[in-house]
Amino acid sequence: MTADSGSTLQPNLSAKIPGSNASSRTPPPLIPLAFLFSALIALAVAGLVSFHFGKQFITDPTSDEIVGNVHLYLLGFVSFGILGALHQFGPVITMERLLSIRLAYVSFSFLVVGIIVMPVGLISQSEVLTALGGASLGIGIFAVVINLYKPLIKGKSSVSLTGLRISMGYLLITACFGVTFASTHSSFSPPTHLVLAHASFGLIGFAGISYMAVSERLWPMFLLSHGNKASYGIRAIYLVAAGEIVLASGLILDVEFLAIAGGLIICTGIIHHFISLYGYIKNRNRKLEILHGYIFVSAACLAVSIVMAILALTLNVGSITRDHLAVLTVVFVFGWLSIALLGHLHKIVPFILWGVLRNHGVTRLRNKKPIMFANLFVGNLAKLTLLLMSAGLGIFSIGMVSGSVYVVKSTGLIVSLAAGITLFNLSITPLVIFFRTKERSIKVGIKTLN
Amino acid sequence: MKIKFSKIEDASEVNPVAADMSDDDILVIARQGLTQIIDPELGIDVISLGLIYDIYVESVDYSLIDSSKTTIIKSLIVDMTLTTPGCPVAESLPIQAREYLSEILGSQIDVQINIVWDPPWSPEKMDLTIARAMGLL
Repeated sequence: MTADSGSTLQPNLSAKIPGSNASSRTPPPLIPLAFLFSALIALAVAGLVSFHFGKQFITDPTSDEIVGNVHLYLLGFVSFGILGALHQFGPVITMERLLSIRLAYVSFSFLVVGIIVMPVGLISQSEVLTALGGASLGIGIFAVVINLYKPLIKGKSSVSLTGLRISMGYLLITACFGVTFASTHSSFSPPTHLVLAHASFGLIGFAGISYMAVSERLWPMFLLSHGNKASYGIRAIYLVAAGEIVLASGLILDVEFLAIAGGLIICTGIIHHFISLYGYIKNRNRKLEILHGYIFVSAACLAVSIVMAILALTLNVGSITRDHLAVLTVVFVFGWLSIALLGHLHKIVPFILWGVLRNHGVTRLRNKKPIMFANLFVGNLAKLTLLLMSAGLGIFSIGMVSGSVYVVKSTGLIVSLAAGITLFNLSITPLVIFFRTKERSIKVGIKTLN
Repeated sequence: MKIKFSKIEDASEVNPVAADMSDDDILVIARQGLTQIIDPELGIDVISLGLIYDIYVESVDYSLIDSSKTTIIKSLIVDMTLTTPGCPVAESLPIQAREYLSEILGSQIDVQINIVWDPPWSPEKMDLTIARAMGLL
């Protein structure tokens, strides 16, 4: 080689990754992290609100206080968590960028304002705040869907992508219902069947299908399970999506047999989802770890919610008991989604923060070993969170069945504690690694100078 | 054979090690270097995971094209896969590998990482001894 060849050579520093420039596909880490940490804060606040209004869960589960509380759980925690994950993994799995980074910040801002203002409006009986909060949430959700639309539409079709496209549609429908209810809250009290239709769109259509779709992508990776056929996963998504249309039609039109038929189709879809999960576990190439505990408990919650729904429909009981069974059905669907989400947060947040640490030059621990995702949280705290959430759901059920206000109230504190521990675990551990490594670098630097 | 690693301080500086290296030397260094790229989820390097399908060196002799130049440009090509398409570390692992190889080989060697999906990765491609020792299986 000649001496001047170095100046003429331009090393190719771009890894050839099909699709586009990999480094610019994912949004800044602040965007998904803002959604994910807001979700945990919302869960902690929701738990405290449940502690305060625990009595209404038993005496008047359709009161505005409980509606506000439920929105904190389902919209503040579950939806923010799912949307945070989608902002991170949507561009990765589709190899397409978000429509706009700025729009992501705008949508997040509207959603945060909405999730604070609307529950406050409902709890304080302020029609103006309820309507404003609802409008803000509506704008935020429309902005999110527009932003995610590009990667989800352009990406190459797969089980996950199909499910996410369907779930985005249901998110829009849920938002339309929500905005309508919030804006007419002062003059129109929606009948229970319409409220249930709204809830089913959000819980099953959006959150449920989103989780099923994302899990079909994440389980093979987390379980190192590649022998599973995708057919059960895709059938689960189609069946739940179709069942939701029938169920919601039955609820909107107040036609019982249609709602039951929809529920049966959804149950069939869920059975396919369970078969898919069983296939991944059977073909796994990894030892079971804490995430798998979360997945199993969340699946058990889904099974319990189906039993509760069947009991509510078939048992010859009074309206109060039926209401309690309906509440337990929703609570265990929430348990399914929330426990699964908390488990996946212990994978997603460390993954994002691992990249952030690398960008700051922190690649190794104090013992010089490379940083792994598992180093970015304390495993025992993750186990404690799972224990608390599982106990919380069990205690809540006992409280509802026994009619004990204090037992129901205590659930709120347990959930809040679980959220606080997760927030601490996922944020403090990486910060400690960051500052310890930086401190060591400074000490080494000073030593070298001396 | 003892392989020396050298870092180039200045991009225009000729890396004497890189300039003198044979293709085999480059491949040995690259393979060693890739054992330092650890999958942060599994804690196993990309070689043991079976993510590296092929490593080869391509040389272009520019003196054949332009007699005034006697430069031979060497490119290290790494065909790499990931455990699954859309793997979250798809954003970082290949870039990490490319940056590390560029660092240890010097700027005279052009490093390219090609992500390939055919054949798809399966757990059978892992080094089972290491996977078991790591408690993965």
